Amino acid sequence: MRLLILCLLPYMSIFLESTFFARYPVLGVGPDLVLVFVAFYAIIYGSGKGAGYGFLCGLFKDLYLGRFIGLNAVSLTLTALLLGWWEVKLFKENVLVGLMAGVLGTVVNSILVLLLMLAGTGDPDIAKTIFAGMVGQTAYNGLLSVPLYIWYYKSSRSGVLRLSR
Amino acid sequence: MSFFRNRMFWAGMLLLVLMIGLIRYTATERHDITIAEKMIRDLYTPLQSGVNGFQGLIDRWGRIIGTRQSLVDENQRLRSELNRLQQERQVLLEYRYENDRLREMLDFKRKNTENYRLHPAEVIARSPELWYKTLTIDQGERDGITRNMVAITPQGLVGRVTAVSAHTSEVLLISDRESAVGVLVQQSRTQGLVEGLGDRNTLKMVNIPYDAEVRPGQVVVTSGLSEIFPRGIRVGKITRIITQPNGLLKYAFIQPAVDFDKLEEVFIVFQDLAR
Repeated sequence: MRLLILCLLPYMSIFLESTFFARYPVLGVGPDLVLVFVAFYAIIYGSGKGAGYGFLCGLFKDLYLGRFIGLNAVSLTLTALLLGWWEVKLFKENVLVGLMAGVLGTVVNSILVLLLMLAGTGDPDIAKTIFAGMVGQTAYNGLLSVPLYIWYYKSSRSGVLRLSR
Repeated sequence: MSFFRNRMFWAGMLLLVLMIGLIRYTATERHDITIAEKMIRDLYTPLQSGVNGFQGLIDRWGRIIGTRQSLVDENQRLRSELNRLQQERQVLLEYRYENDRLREMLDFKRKNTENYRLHPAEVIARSPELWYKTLTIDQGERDGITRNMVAITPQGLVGRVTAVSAHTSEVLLISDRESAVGVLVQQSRTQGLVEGLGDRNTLKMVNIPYDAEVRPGQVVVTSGLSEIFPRGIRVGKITRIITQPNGLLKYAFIQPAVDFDKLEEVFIVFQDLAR
């Protein structure tokens, strides 16, 4: 069940991003729920598992998008690695952890995407586009992170996302 | 552990390089997408179609509701505009009819300047009783109106003034039972007396000799033999002639020249200049 939910989360995230949230953009951009859930996973389960989950989710998203394949896979892997480093140092019950994961994850991911795009395409104009969207997406992700983290954390401790021992 | 970490590091680096290569490879438009991409996109197709259909449905309903609301608003606006225009039209029609009547009266007055001095008056009330046929006009003693002055219209004789107050006068219609007017048939010059029957559509001409040449359709005018009514004013038209049982006299029913129910303005004859 846990595995199914973990698979369904990126699937449903992409679905909602492409349908519902596409209709309600903030500063012209929609949220990145896949990134939010990968950030939560990394914060709660650590960098190793977070990186693996981030890679699979990112690759799934890349394959769905069909262009720049590997971009999200790498950026989400590295974002999860970075966020996962705080796993043992954080008081995870605090809802601000979720907010921080959403906001910080978005900023880090945007910078990584920019670097990867520059490395992958060599087009410097891409920076303008990414930075222009980063503010709106950070706000959107931060806003959604709070309620989502409450559910995610509870599920990871005593719900469907709890690790079987 | 260190070795393991190194292996992971190098594996990660290798993966990173591979991925950058993949990004570069897929940065441009490809001829065809891979099976994995097709499968993932197909996974979303039913959901997205459903959502799009649902959103399309909501949009359509939104448009229908929006359109309906704007139509309701427009309809309401047009209705109130129509009401306003109808009222305006009604007022203008009133002015037009009044203008026609006044023009006709003015014309009549001009034509009869030699015969009568006419004073216009407006009908302001009618007798509420069925058996008492009177009008109240807005001209009274202070305007020079006196009892027994005659009221006429361009169409014909209306009646005579029977009561005068300072600002109003009462006109007894020739259709009243108490009214009697000396008349003659215009074509045959047959004289008689027209009495009211209390019926707004019918007068009765009496004292017609049995051998008088009177026929339906002939016009009856005032004879001028009475003290009150000046001569030559149209009273009505003969509709039916009946011989009395004694065979010596006939009487005729007259259709009044004036429609008493629709009177709004009359002339009061001040002076019979012809007399």
